[in-house]
Amino acid sequence: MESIPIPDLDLIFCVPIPKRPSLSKHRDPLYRRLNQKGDKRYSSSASPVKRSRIDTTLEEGFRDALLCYELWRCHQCGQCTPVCPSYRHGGIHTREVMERAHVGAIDLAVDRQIWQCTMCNACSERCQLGVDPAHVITILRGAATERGNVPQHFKDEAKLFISSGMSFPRTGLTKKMRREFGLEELEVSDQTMLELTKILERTTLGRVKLE
Amino acid sequence: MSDPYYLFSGCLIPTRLPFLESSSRLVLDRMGVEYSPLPDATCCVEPIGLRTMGYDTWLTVTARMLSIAESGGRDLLTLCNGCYMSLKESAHALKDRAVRERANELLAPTGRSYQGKAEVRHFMEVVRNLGAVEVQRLIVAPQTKLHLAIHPGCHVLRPSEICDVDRSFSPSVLSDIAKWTGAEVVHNEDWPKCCGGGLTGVDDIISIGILNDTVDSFKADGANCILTPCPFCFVQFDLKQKQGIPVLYLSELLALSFGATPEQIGLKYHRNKFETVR
Repeated sequence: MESIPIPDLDLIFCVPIPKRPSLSKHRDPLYRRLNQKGDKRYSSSASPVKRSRIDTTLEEGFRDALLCYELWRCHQCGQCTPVCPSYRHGGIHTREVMERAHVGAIDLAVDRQIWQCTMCNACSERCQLGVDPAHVITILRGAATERGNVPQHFKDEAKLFISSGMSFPRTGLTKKMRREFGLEELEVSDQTMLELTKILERTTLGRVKLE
Repeated sequence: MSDPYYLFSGCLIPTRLPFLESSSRLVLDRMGVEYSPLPDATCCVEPIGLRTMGYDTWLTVTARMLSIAESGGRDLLTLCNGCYMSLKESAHALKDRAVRERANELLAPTGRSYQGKAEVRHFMEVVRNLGAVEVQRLIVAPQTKLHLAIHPGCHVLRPSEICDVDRSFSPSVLSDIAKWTGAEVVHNEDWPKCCGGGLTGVDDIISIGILNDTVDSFKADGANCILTPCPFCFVQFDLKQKQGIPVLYLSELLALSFGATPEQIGLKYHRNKFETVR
């Protein structure tokens, strides 16, 4: 029996993604309004990812990992995109991200789209082919974090979590209100912080740079 | 395992919204649900930012918390959608032996290990499980003036194969509970809606746009109050919303209908004043 030929990966990456302006964005009155005000986020020239460039920054091992999540199931039907609350306001284009992830054409060191997802899981719920776009975005975000591409807000949150064990700051008002309602003091014990530090020493959040 | 529960109130409720913790405890006490705070708790590694940044960190930290619950022989009771999804999804992933072994390997230096027995419950789920008869028996002040818009929030419904409190499209549990208190439900979620809270601080323009989409659909149906079981949605509706519709957390609605006074449960800390409805 003849073995099935393996597709030439280099060949796949030679095929450029067509530079296509998203029609819906131009029709959207919100898009036009924002664009008139000089908001550059919506104009394609402001995008840090050049649409015509094929980026092969995704390592092969990582791409394999993505394929484990059955990206090949995605038929690019685009059902994930209209249910996306962020897409309607010029945020993440779910189908495009799936396509880019599939061919490895996504520069995780600068890409901002993946951070415009609210993780509401509507896309995964809507997908009729059993792909999980929200999980793919989760993986992409993890890899982007390793490359230092994280919004400042999440960096600050991570730093707070690492230093205090909580993702929100405890303020004077916290103390006052807790006393008013007869709730016990909110404290993360030293022993708990020690355990957390031990976990962070061995996992991603403790390793990545969060300046 | 059922009650007594370990109450896990997360980060947002204990630090910024302690009045929600107070009303939740009041409601749990009235309903006769036994609980005590989860010992040695940290943040659940919230599922929007931190979980996606460090997947292994999330898995290990949640495994640690689940192992604490397991060694106490109790289920976890969360007050927050974020904590619920984070812990529930982790418990689901850790049912797989290979994943559990890897997590326990990372967890080893802390001297803990997880065997996959802990269960995670949402506050809304506990109220639902108690049933209409039990809850209605406790109601002394029916909230008949309320025309509620229901917003269960994303992470208590989705992913639906894991978060099994309610179905994902046109959910019914929260509106059922609202109807038990005598309130009228004028808007039920027919389509996955989001409060935009996940993008606060990351991209505020998109965040506010998403919020407005959701609130406008409430307003169109003539809602005079929003009901949510999620503190993140609560913050979005209370602090960021410009349309001025007051919002109630699920425990506040129940506490009011159980006869608690607004002062007792700290309604004065709401930005969009609830008194306008009453």
